[in-house]
Amino acid sequence: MLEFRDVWKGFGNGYVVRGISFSLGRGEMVAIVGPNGSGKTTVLRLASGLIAPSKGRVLVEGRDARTPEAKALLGYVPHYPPLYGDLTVRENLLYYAGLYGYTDLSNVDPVVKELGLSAFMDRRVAELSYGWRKRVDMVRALLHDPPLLLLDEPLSGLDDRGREWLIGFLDRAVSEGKTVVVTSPRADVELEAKVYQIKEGKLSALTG
Amino acid sequence: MLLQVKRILWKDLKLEARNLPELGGAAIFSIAASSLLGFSLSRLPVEDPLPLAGTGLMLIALFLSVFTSVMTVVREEDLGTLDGVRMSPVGPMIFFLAKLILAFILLEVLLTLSFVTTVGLSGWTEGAIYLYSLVASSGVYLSSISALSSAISVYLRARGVLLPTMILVLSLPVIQETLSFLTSGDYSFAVILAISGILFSLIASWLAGYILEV
Repeated sequence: MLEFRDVWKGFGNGYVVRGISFSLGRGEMVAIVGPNGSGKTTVLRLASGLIAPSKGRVLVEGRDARTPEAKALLGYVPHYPPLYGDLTVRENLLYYAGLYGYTDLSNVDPVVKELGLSAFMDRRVAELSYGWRKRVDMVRALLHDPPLLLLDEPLSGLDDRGREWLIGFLDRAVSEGKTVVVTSPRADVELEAKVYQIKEGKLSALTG
Repeated sequence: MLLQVKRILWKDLKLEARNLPELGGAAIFSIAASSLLGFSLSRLPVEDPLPLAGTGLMLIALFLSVFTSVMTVVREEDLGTLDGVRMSPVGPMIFFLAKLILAFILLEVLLTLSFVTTVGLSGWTEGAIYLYSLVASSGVYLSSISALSSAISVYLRARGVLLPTMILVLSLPVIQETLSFLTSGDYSFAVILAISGILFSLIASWLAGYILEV
């Protein structure tokens, strides 16, 4: 589902990601842990096709992660939700659904209800707290029911109910065959995942 | 593809409608600048007002192109939403095309406002429709320049200075061309301007495909 082949990524002086290689099949969950600035977000941005590797290849289902075909297979939840503050939650979701060729939100109705977002659908995103925006962004990433989920520090900013829901949801997603990659600044990830540590741009397995 | 362009454009028009201080500010600039032009035309002893009105309106169009530039691609970067589009299967060319159409709509509305104010305040009518056809046609090219500069400025740090400079430099050929047609009275020039603007839009969309892919 997701494969990194000797991937290097540099910004200006030196490399942030140094020769990372791994591959994930369907139904696998991986947590990448490391301190701030260790390269976790860069790995996810490479996997989502937002940035190109300086060296090496990133493949999603055998396709280059930068191609539209690969992007259609993934849902990425970045640390800062890419939502329009002046649009309502519904307008934001309908807009993004449209980019994937959907005309309604029927795909995510159950998730909207589970997350308690139904009451917020007609509120402007600018009026929501970070935690609620994060939930909206989670729904955004699920609009097209992608088989690969990339989540950048998904548990930060969520209250207990949100965390509980997310942990349960990710477990369910994995059991349904989805591939999940999450990042966390803490080594004690609350998820049933294989844990990799990233340090100075190099990845090493901690568990699994 | 057209559906995606429509979605992005519709979202942008909604955002513009809800961001009245910005759009209102651009409209006030349009009216204020063209009031000055209209005032000059009515008070100065000029025999043929067409060259002065044309030059003035093209300068206003140049400023308005800078405003529309800020309202298009680079706006998404400032809002932190550019990644939302880039992580979707929507290609950069489609995204850029939607922004180019937005720039065109905004520019034409603001230019029309300027033209009406100038003519209304000066009372000058002879050759006014011809001038409007030239200015409106040059809007096609200017909106492409505006959107293209906006896309490039996503990667610029000193965009406050570089964005207007880039628009000025890239607009010079069409401004000079428009001004040289001012006194001819031949409407076919307006058609040529519009066609060359459309052709440049296609080139700009192709270039933007690479620029936004970086």
